[in-house]
Amino acid sequence: MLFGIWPRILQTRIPFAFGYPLAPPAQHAFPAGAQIGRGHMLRDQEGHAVAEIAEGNIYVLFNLLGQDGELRPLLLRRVLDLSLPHLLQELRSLSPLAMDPLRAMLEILRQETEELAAGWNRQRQATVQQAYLRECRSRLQQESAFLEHEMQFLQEILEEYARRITAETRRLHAYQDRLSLLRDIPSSKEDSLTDLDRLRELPEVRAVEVEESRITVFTAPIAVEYDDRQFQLGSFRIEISFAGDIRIRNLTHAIGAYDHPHVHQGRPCFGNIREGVAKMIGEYQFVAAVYVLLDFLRTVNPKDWRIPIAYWQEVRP
Amino acid sequence: MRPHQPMEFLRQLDLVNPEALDLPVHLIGCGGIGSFTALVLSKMGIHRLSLYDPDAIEDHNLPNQLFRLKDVGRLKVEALREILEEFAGTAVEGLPITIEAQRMTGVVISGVDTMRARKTIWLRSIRYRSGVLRYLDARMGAEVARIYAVNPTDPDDIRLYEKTLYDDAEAEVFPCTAAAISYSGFAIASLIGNLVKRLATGEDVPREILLDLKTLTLLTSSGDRS
Repeated sequence: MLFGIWPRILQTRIPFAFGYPLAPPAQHAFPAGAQIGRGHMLRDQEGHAVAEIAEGNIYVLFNLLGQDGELRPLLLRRVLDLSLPHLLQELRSLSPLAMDPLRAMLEILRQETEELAAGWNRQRQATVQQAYLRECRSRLQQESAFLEHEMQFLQEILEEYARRITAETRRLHAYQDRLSLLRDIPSSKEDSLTDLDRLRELPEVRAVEVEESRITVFTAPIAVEYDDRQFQLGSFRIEISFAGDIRIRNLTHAIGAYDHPHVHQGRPCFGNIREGVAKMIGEYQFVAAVYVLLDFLRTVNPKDWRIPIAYWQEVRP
Repeated sequence: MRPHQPMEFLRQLDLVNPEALDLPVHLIGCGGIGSFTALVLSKMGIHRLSLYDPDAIEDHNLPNQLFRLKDVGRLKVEALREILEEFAGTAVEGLPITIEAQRMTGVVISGVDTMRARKTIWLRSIRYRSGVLRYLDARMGAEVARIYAVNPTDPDDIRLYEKTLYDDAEAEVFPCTAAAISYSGFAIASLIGNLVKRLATGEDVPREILLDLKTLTLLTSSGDRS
């Protein structure tokens, strides 16, 4: 109440009173001197002015009512234990007891204060211990959760790295294989010319042209045997691009858009040989690819031809 | 006597559709491998079967080939045609010729007994042939059988297979008394039958099968470029 009534009086802050920590928002107190201090100042064991006795009254100089509920009566008892021995005369005038019994009574009250203080200390220690344990557990849980999260994250990174290592190892081996294969391909001028000559020497080949990343083979007339009959399919132009595209055109006996029972508008339907031919071109095995393509032109399969072979002219012996 | 009836394939309908087996199969060599293989294929339902072997049956062929005692002296293809007709009702084509550069399509099975013959067949009739779905080169020595399944238009298959075409002089020679035994022929014929079924149904086919009956080991490999 005093703090509200005399707001113009200077205030100071004391963090402790009688060795007990005061609540942070209630640590203001009246300093000795000025308007306060005309009576008898009482100080705690640390020298803080905690009470003043003036004209038979006890004035508490710190914020007693602002303290926690359990500390407040203990602080009041401490103030009274400190003050009342200085007011024995006043007490004597109010009490039927003689001086000595009064002193004894005050001593009994002081001992009760000590017991109360011991209990408060024990409770406070237990509270602090619990808070400490709670805080420790909380920190442990937080750190454990953090570590688990980090480990999960690192595990995922490692798994990703493992996947990349696997994929890159496969790529490396594929490149090594490809390089090894390319090194095995004859690269000298003589070898390449030999390949070209081999192509020209095939009996079904009439001419070979090479231009703009493309090899063009012109065939002699090709006949197909089917069902013990022979059919004349005509001469073909086979274009093989280095990129892998293949076009086959019938130069003499096309039936409309059909160049061959398995070739429509120049696009061959290779079936199960598609992969092999593509690999051969990828490996620059053009002679082998032409061998396969010539055999392809000499082969018909009624299960998947686009038009029957009977559209072509039968060769009669 | 019960009149002749075509075979019904009820017991294998869920294993292979008979219509899928409508593909040409050429069997080169009708001896220790080919004679048993022909029987397996016919019993499976392969009806477009062509047999090639110029040899006649000799006494020493009887224990390890399918032929009957009465067949001695006959051409192998003729006797085998008759056997297949009796066992499976299959009318197969049999030509007593050596394969040189004949044109073949579908599945080609080689059961010849020299590396020279293998090389000739490979170079003149198989390699780069777009119509050959797979070339099955079966080799047998005593209790060990090996089958190469080659796609003749695949450069990887070609490379791997051509590494196995060593000269006859390098081949392991078994003593005449330890060269062949009937169960090896049946075993390799079973494997070939399985491969033909896989090809007919579009299943995966390993590039190489090794069967060692001495240790009862079966190994398959899809091969790699090495």
